[in-house]
Amino acid sequence: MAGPTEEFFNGLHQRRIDLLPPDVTGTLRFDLATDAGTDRWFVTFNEQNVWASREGEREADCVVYADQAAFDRMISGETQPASAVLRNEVSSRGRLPLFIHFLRLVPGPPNARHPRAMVDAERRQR
Amino acid sequence: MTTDDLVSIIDGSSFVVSDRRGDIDASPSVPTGMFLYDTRFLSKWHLTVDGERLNSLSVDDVQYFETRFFLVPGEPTHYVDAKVSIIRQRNIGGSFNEHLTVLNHKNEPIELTIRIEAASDFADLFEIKDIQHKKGRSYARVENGLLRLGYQRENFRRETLISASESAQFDEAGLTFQVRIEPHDSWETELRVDTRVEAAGGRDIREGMSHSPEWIKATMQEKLDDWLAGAPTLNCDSEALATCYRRSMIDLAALRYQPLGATGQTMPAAGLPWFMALFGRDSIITSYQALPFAPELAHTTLRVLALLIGTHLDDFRDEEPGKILHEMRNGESAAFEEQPHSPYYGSADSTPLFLILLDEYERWTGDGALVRELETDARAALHWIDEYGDILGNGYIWYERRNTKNGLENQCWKDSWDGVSYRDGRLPPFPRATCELQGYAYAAKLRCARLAREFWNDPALGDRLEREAADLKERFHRDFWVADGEYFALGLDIEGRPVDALSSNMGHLLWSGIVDQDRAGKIAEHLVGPRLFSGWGVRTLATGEGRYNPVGYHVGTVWPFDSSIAAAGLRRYGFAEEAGLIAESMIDASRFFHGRLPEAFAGYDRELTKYPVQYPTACSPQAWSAGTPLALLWTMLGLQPCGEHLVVVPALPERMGRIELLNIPGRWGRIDAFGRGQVGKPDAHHHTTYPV
Repeated sequence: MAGPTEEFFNGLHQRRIDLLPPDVTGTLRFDLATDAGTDRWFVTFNEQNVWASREGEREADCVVYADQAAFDRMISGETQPASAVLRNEVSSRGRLPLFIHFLRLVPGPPNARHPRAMVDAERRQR
Repeated sequence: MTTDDLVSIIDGSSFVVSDRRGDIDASPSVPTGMFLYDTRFLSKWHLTVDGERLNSLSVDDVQYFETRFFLVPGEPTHYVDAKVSIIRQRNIGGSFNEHLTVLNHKNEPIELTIRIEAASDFADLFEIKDIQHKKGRSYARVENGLLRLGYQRENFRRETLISASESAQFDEAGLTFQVRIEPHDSWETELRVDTRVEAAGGRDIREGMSHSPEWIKATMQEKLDDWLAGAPTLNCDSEALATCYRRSMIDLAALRYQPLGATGQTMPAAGLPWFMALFGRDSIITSYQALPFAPELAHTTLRVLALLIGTHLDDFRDEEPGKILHEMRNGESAAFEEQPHSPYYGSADSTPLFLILLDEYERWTGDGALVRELETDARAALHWIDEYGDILGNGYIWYERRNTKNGLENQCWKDSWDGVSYRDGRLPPFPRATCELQGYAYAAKLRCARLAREFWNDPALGDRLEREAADLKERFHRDFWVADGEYFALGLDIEGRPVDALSSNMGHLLWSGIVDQDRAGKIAEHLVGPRLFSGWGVRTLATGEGRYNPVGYHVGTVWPFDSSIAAAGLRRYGFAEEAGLIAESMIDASRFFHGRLPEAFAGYDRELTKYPVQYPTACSPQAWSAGTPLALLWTMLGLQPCGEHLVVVPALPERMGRIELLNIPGRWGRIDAFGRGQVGKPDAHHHTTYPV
């Protein structure tokens, strides 16, 4: 069964992402430590298009290191990526802005509210 | 201990605050110690000679990154015949270095025990006032020629490494030198304190930052010299103006902050000591004030804030897609998600202010490439205004925190809990829509209409934004006007009623351009009238209002940056005399602070106190206060980019005499501006960059 990481990367593959600036170009490599060794993924951005796969060993502009479990928490919105970096659960080497742009593709926390939804709910309570 | 008894050195991201003898004692009221990225790396740093603490003869602030202390052992009553004196020279820039020189004034050799006591609590800046039981483990280890202090919580590790150039006896609480000094001779050593913020593989997180060759090569002094050489030269009759201009440029150099990941590029941190971090609002406004002087600050500010633009809904961080951040911290509390600052997005003004800065930056520099580069993020920011800022769906920007644990209640610049009130002092319910937010939204839309046509190849967007701005302006004049006082309300409450206090926020309205020309005269009258104008600047809240308090943080004090915006707004609407009055008064005030305007000072009447009373815990230097003299120069000289040219329409108060600002950088290369104060002839030129 595919784990959250695999599902996440498969979901990114060959997508077009409007919220990435078109000039964000480059390749990220993810080295995720598992019991069985390192699970390696590559993500490439080019003009708002994203490719993600395990295949095609190539030079990366930014390398991200994490335990698989920590990475799973990050991509499921359970922990916030910047905090995970400050805690040194996830770290990067190379072009940090590329990693920060990548984080736009990571979902936010579940159950977050739109400000309008919150205010509407409050009004109904009153 | 008050901030006046403290001595600071600073290098943007790191700083050391000590007492006047150079010692550090952790105190709950002020952040003393050595700090880097919101963590205290030294909480104790005592120098003793033969077991005795020292006393300060004098302190010499050589540069913002360098200080010299002249010290003697013993109590002040008997140091007159001191046989030993100590010079403690310290600097910061990457690491914290302290050069000790011990002088023997006797005719015979002496033997001394010189000791440094050192410790670190690795407190997060947010813990200083209330140190909690740390959840991690602290350690102190003596290694070969080194004392290593450390703190670890899970993978989070911070370390302080202390070493010395002379041989020392190390123990877990410090290091000791046994010294013999010949008659009239001296002994010296170099102490060095390094910090480590650990990332994967045991390397330092800032390793990436040291890749910038400029950063390594240039010494701190060279960096300062280059910075000052790049700024316009000011020649003027007013000594106070010359002093505060130079002070401001140096303070802005000191506050240049290198965000993690922005290699070699710097932007203004908000202020020492509490706000040495990235703040959306403060960094944007300071960069704006500095556009005619150091436009590169705006370049970094825009890029970094765009990179960190909100992309998700996140209640804890009050984040929404397209929102520009409020505050970014790197300490333990942000790391473990106890505080929301990673980053925190709780400000409703940083997003439109970002768009205003983007447009104004291009007008000065001609850097259309950046406008194109940031198109995606600028569009997201525009979308935020309508979708997430407009919580009630009625065409205004509102705010209400979703993080009710430690989010900010007021998400405008007056962000203390009581910063927004009705005339009678009551606090309005949430959500709240303060008036300046609407002015910013108006300006952001008009400015982006220009960017859409000229850079984004989207004239339809330009048309839509202009329509929306016009509608907003009309709506605003209907809903925010307080007819019986003839001014704009501080805000609107959820029932659509004006939050009717008279406040300085109206200065921002003039600055934004949302005010109809036929109502501007009344606003100008209020801004320089007796209830708002203290004689030094514009009070945040008018006298006579329920919550007015001359020493209340946002309810009666005078904030220099706030006054500088009012002055710019007045000038924009043709009230050159009123603008000049504020500029001149503020420059007068700076004389009482050695040219360094503090974050805020008390709102007492000038006639009453004769000098501006500093707000007790004000930050200093504070970025947008340092930016204030620059903004006032801009206003008085009437600088305005116009296509490829800089238009100069000076209107100086008479007492200001002559002002020459030479080598103003911009899309024109370098240009000089001249002005002279004239008796009773203020210039009535209207700044009409945007329709008013």
